[in-house]
Amino acid sequence: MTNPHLTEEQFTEALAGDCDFDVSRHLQTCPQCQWEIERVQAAISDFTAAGLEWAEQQAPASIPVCSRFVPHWQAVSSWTAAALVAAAVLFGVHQERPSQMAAANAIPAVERSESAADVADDNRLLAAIDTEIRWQAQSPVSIERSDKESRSQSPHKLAN
Amino acid sequence: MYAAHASNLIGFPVQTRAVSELDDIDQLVEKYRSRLLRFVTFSLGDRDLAESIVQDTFMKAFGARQSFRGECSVQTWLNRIALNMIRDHQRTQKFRFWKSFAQKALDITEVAGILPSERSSPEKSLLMRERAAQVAKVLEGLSFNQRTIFLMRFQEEMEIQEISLAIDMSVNTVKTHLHRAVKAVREKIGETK
Repeated sequence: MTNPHLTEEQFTEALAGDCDFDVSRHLQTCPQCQWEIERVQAAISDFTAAGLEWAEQQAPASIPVCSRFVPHWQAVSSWTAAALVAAAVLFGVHQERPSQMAAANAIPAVERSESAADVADDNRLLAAIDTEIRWQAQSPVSIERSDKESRSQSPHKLAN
Repeated sequence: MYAAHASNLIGFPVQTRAVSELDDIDQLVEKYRSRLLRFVTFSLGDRDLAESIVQDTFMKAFGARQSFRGECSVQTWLNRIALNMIRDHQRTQKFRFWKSFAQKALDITEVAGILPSERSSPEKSLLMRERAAQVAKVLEGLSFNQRTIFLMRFQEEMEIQEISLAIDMSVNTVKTHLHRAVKAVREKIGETK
């Protein structure tokens, strides 16, 4: 080597652990370059350790549960189902109101009992929808948990 | 069982561990959050934005875990996702919003001054803090590419080739940025000798 010490490029390569044989040999025989490399390495190492220490001290922000566990299509379907039910109820009330008002005085007792049965049916239907929606909202978590549990009990997991 | 099945489906036995690791977001966050937060924070110099990007990175990684091929480490994969998100933010108004309205801009030298106290004597700890702060100060003055490449190489210990792939830059360009960053660090540390 014509230059008694490492060039800037060689220094970077040596620091990055990507140096050729000549540079390695020079480092072994030149205390000054070796000292310089160690000095910069020490500073970078201190910086790296300090950064990690700082990062570990930062409390992790919680990841939203619904985003974590509810698959996108299920989240959408839950909201869609809720919106459809709401729209159906509103639309139904709106549609039935004129006819109900027109026939209000002429409703016989039998028809009143039939409408009570209808109300009961409607209630059952709404309860079923409610159950369905609740299942959709809860199932991803339970599936996730049961999946986790089954995995944690699997032979492969135990072997690891 | 599950992981073995997953590896058979994809055909890369090496990725068995990684794929099962990615399936548990809590484990993923616990294991990789600190290093990812360090990388993103020092890349951006903005604590709040870094926190937000780290969280988004985990969400994105979890959502795209099936696409992870095991060709690189999970940490490298996460770094790459985070880097893409940083770039996306830089291109959008959202980034400008955060930049202009961030209440807690990061004091990078203050962060670098935190070192494990049990490691050494008070005098040596002080010296280490000073050195760390000097490096942090230099990084603040570097271009985004120089800083990110420096962090990827020396903080994240990524190979030059990996960095080249992660940031879609030629190996020679990566080396040039790294060389300039190292030169700046070396000169700054030399000033206080």
